[in-house]
Amino acid sequence: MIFRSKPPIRRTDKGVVVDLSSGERDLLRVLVLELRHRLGDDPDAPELRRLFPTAYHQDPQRDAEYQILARSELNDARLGSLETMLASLGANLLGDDQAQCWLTTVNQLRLVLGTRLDIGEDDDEDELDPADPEAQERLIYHWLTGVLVLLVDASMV
Amino acid sequence: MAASPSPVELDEPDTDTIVDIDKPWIVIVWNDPINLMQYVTFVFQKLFGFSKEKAHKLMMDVHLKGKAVVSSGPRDKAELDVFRLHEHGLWATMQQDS
Repeated sequence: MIFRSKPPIRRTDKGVVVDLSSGERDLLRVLVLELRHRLGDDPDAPELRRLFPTAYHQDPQRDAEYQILARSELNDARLGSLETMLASLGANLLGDDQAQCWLTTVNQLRLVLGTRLDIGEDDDEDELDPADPEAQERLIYHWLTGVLVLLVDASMV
Repeated sequence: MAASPSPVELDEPDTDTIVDIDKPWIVIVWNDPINLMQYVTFVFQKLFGFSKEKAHKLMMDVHLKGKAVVSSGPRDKAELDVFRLHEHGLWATMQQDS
């Protein structure tokens, strides 16, 4: 996404233009497929916990009832957005609904990867250490941040 | 034209029997280190129809004070708001207003 005169994801009169390279789209596809696999396989995995937050923080009984109802609905909504994004990954122009699915799905990817990397308030892209065994995942995390910022900007009307 | 209704004797509400008024529920969004500030502002605008200024102010409260109340009302409405915030990956909880 460097050396481009216009933002690679941007709003136009026709919709949201996506000007990502095939390599960038491939990376998104790999990440989205992995998320789909995890959501289907092991939705209780600790790194997915930010996708299913507590609702009643003062009332465990009511929260348990909320979780029973909400978890499957949340999972369905997430999988729906994810499938829409997968189906439109090759597109150069997104409608508003598709762009919203990209937005929520890229945010999910960041939440899951950020949880796995135990990202804190002070994590800074400038402090990447090439010797860090997680350096590559951290790079991807920061790249997703850039994609998400573009999607948010493109969603603002 | 219908005749005016005859006066009806109304039962005055017996205030002594009202034990508890249903206090409203408030929806709180908590700070977390991963969700982006721009994204949180956008979600507040999208879900609650807030102006950019109001959404930005609430986001800054979440960021600097650790939390902000974003909506309130009956339990059903609060729970739906919490669900929609969860759908967008925000850390939202609800409690009865004290």
